[in-house]
Amino acid sequence: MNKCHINNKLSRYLDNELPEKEKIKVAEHLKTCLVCSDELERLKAVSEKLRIWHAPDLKDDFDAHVRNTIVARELERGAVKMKKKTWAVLIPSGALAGILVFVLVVGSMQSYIKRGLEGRLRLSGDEIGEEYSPSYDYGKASPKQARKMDISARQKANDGKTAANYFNDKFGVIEGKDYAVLEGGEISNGVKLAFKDAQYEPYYLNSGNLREDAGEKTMWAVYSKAETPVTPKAEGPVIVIQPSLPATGVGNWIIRTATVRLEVENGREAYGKISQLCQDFGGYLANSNFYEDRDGLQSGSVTLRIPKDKFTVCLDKLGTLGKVEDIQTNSQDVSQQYTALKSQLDAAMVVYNKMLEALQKRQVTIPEAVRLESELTPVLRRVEELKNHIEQLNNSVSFTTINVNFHETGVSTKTLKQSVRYIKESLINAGVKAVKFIAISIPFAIAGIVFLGLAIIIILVVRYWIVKLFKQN
Amino acid sequence: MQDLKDEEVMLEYQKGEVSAMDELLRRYKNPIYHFIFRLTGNSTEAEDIAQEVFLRIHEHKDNYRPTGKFSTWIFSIAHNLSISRFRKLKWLMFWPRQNDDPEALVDFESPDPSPQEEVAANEMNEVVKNSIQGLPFLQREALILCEYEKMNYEDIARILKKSPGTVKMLIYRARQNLKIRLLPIVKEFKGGLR
Repeated sequence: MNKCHINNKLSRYLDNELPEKEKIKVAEHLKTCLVCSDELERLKAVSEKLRIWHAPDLKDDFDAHVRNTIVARELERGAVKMKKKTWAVLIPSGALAGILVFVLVVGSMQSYIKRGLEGRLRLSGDEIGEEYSPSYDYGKASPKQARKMDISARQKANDGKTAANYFNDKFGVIEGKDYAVLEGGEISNGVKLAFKDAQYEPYYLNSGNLREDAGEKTMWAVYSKAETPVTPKAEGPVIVIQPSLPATGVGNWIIRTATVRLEVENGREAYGKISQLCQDFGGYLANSNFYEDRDGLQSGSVTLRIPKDKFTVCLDKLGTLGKVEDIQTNSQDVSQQYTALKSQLDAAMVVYNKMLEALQKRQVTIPEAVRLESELTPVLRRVEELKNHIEQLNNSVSFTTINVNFHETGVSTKTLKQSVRYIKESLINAGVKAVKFIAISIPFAIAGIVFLGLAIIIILVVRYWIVKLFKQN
Repeated sequence: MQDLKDEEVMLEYQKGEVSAMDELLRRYKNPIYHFIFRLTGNSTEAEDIAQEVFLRIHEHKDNYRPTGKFSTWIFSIAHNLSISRFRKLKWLMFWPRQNDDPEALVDFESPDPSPQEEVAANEMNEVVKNSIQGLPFLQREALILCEYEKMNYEDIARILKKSPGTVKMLIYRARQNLKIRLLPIVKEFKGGLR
């Protein structure tokens, strides 16, 4: 085509897209150039032919269909928003509820554990050898009646109420309304006596035991009359007697012992803590044993000698070292024994002093002195024996004895650690195997990709030929 | 509502006037459908895409700003949706299909054609359709907007998101291609155009 022709402008000329000046130039050119005017005619003819193709109009229900779809999508979007809102509300609410439940459960568990522990320890520890200080309403109960309280009772009960009823029956009615009842609280809270309108000499819980075996609680307690009466305090109609720390004056010669069985996480650690505890309380280790079985489970037994004023606190602390499986306490009143020994010692000392005085004054003859000497020796021996005895007694009273038996749980920390280590190793092995597998698979994957690429190329070529064939037909 | 311009109708719809959508449908449903039908050659697909165009208008009504012609905006939506569908079908429709759309063969500009004329017109209709369908996508699109929708190059450029120069070239090449395809047939029916 000649360069003077304006073929490339004809399309725009046809569409009236040329600027005015250019349009005039093209029009002038077309008047003189047959080639270009023919080309324009051809383009016009093509354009006319294109108009033959009429597209069908849309169906009548198109509008309704669009409107319905809009409504449906709006509803759907609303549902989605609802879902989002629901989740937006549910997730924080769920989290909050979860936290609340967790706090409640943990709180109740802590409360339960604390109460249970306190109950056990108080039952067996706090109230042993402790004096009660009731208020008195004089003249309603005689000492004779009061001595009825010196009883022992054994009760198997599932709850405190049953135990309370039992004790109520056991104590019976002392002259009408003078009676003693157990508080109706949980048994694990310990045994507390309530005296009503009664004038008693103080009683103390001599010994007690609370054991839990497969959910069944067994309790027994012995109440004894205290040797030394306590001065009455102010009067009051109903007094709930609370345990108080025992007085340490003369008359409280009580030997206190306890046996605690603990389940601990780590035996060695528990042993160390018990030793430290003993040291902290100013006591000493009387005896200790430590074992480790084939499975690596550690156990041991320790005998602690703790000052008597630290007895209860020490039991409390021991309870925190592990799960208290069993606790037994006992107390032995040795006041009479002490008094007897003291009297014997005093008497022996009088004899001894007189004999010694006589010997020193030299008012005796030699044979008499020899006789006195021979008589003085057994007295001196007796004095020493009595002193030793009293000293032993004093030691037993001053330092309470706590036997602690502990053992690790069935699944020890060691086993857990071993399990964790085994899992870690397994995971590492699995990772190594996975890497190896991937490394081996790479060549196969490359081969697969190449094969797939080839297959696609072949299919495309076939398709191209089929298309060409269709067009030719 | 009928007296309002397209842009004003759209603004009314933006404000929440539900009847504005009816007006937009009345004005644009067939132009959009025809455009897509000619582009795809399939009435079902064209109807689906046309419906989607109006749904997009509804969904994006808040984003509409009357900075340009409404027609340009709605046709660009149709263009975008058609391109998406075209790309999808390019992979899905691996094997070429013969025309399976019977509706594509109806509606001729022939008030009372004789059976021979009808057959001839049908054949011509299909020839034109196949010729247009044989064009590259962008050439086809530019040509349809120019020839059937009577749009100027500037608007077409906005719809296709191309420069006016590119649109000029696309239409020129589309016509050259069609000329080659249609000339022999035009000769048969019209006695030839050389």
